[in-house]
Amino acid sequence: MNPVSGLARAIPDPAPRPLRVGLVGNPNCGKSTLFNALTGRRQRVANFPGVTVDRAEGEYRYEDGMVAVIDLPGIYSLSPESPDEAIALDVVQGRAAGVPPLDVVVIVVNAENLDRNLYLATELLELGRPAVIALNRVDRLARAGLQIDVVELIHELGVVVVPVVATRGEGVDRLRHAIARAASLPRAALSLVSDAAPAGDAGDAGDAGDDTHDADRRYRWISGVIDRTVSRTRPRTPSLSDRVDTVVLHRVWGPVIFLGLMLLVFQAMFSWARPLADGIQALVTLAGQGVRFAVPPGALRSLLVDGALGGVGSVLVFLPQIAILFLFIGLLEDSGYMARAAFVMDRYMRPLGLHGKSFIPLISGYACAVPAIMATRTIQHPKERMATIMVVPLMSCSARLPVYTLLVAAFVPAVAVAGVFSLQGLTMLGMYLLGTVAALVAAAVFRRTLLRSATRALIIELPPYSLPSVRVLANSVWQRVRLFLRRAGTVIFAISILLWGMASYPRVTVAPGQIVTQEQQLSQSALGRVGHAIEPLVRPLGYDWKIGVSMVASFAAREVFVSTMGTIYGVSNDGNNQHALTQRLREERDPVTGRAAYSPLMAIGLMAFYVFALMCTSTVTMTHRETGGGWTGTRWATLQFVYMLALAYGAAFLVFHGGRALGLGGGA
Amino acid sequence: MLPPLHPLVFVQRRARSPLPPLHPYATSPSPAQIVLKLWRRRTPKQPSLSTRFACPSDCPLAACPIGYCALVIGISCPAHEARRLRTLGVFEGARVNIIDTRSGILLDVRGSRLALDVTVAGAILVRPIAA
Repeated sequence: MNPVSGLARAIPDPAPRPLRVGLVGNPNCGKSTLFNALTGRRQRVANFPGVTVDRAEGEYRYEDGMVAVIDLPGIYSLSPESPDEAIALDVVQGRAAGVPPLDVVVIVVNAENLDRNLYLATELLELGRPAVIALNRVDRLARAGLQIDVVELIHELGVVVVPVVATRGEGVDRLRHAIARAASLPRAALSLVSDAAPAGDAGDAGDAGDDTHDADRRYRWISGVIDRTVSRTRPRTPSLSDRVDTVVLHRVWGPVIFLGLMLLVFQAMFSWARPLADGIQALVTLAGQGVRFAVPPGALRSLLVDGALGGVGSVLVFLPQIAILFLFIGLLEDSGYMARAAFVMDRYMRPLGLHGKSFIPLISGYACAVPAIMATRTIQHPKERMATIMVVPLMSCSARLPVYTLLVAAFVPAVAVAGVFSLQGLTMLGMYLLGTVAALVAAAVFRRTLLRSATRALIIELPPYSLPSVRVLANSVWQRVRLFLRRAGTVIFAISILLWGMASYPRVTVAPGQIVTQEQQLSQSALGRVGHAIEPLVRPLGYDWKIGVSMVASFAAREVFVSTMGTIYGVSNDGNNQHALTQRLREERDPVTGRAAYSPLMAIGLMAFYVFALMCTSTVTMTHRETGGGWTGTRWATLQFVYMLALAYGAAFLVFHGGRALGLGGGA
Repeated sequence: MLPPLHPLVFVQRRARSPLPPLHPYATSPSPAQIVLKLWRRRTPKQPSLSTRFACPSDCPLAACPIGYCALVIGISCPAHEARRLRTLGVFEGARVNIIDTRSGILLDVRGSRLALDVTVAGAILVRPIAA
């Protein structure tokens, strides 16, 4: 006897292959909640290769074996036209790249709406894969006046049907048991549309006749099943959802309610996130103080404090805004309001070529473009999503505010206009309006040129309103934060360190005994040299090398412009000293002519430049990630950066020279 | 290509504002009255008398009065939209309830709510059945 084979038989396989399970179901059928109930906290969100469709994976242990669960996107059918449905079809059939074939398909069915949900279920059952049906939300049946005969349903469909209440975790253990058994149960494929090709392979979309036949036959079969399994205990009454909808979908009140909600989201991102971000900033500063104590002055300390900790800080400050935005998006999605919002706003966004759901990223863009670009994932239509990503950074984000504030305080006189408005306030408002109008126009242009597509029909299902679950919400926020830290955070950190290096090296050599000032160092560094080098480029806009350096440095983040100007002018940058900086800017004289170096006209031009320019590595990183990553992402991110820079340069040029031509504060 | 607008669209429009146009010098309504009027523009519980007899034959879904049940006769959208509609339960021979037609079309299809824009709803030919 061969001892090796005997040994192999005695020792069990050290890591048995996990059972692979995929959750498939209609949107709004409680699939994600069930996924959470099955896997608990052991899950992660990633992308399907090549597309930005969320791929949530998790696992749990059952009877000494691991079960790996993958949550597929919510779909209505298995037609391969939309990216979501094509992916779901590929995964179920084991053809998706990078996703191992499934052992069991769990079809999540909303019990409240059995016949519509059974459409997808029949399509899946026809594929002949081992399957289990999870009949979700059975607790709501009594309230809706319905009763489902589960045993009869099992007979009709020929698969195990497990009633569950995902929100409360009821029936989840029985579902786990059914999943473990399903792989070994013999099963014949359902054949409703036997003569036609299987759902996924019906290649030509123009075959409307066949389609009609297919849908008709399916629904006729489903009607029979429903007749035998579902009984109505009392007649239908208009539900609370319908009564709420008469107001929420109202022609006038609908948009009003939506705008009110958006105001709340904006307020939350703008002001509630501020104290949290300040707290994080303070912690980072505190850590910097600690390092200062521990490490002697020199290159290492500078690297740790200004480079590494600065980089960490620039990543972490985004977290409060991302968490708050995704908390609100989760609330809107899970409560069922998002579909209504899309329906209400679609009328206004359509002429611009955007989706009703584009509104939320655009509004979030006023606070910060990074979470706003992440939020475009709620838009399913790929080209509308892309157009939204491309224009979101034009909305004046909160990082532009310090730049506007500095320039307005320094160069716009605080005079009253029409008695009540201050000219300074109006200038600020003008900058916000300029950005917003530019974003909307750019979206319309993109959708009519690069991202052109046939006009999209608006067909939205409005799910009944429901109370979002705290666990699901907390989990989705956590997953977003983690995704940001892992994907974008690392790149933003690396770029921060790179920019620090450029600002610190090469070092200035001076005679011993002399002290190197910060401004000397900056002017000699690689960054300073770039600033000098681009001076001929910024000269036509009326800027000198100092503004050039600050502009290059502000590529890390726009607000760096202010601190760099502070460094150049030797004003310590504590925030309290901004007054000193505005003073210095006003007093700055041109070395040749002796007149004021900076005019109000130039300041307005500079503000216009910052309205348009994409001076934010974090946004560029995010765009790269969210437009597909790799080469595709690089192309889109480059296009975005270049078109915004061109707009910025053009605007600044136009303001400066147009203003001069009109005789406004030319050289004064 | 859209079919020409059904005359009923205009019947419907007129039915919505039954009051004759006010003389320009007549007293204009106060803001509070305007708000009240807008608030009362809710979905009528029952189809009004004027619309109950207004839909005698096949018409586009967009022109179908609120509160009616309708039988889908034909769908003339582009193929992928038609397929989406069919998977959502709007197929030839299906029955749908019209809940609201004032801002987009709101349907009750087998217990789920479906919202369509006027373009799509104009491409769906239905035969109204009594409410």
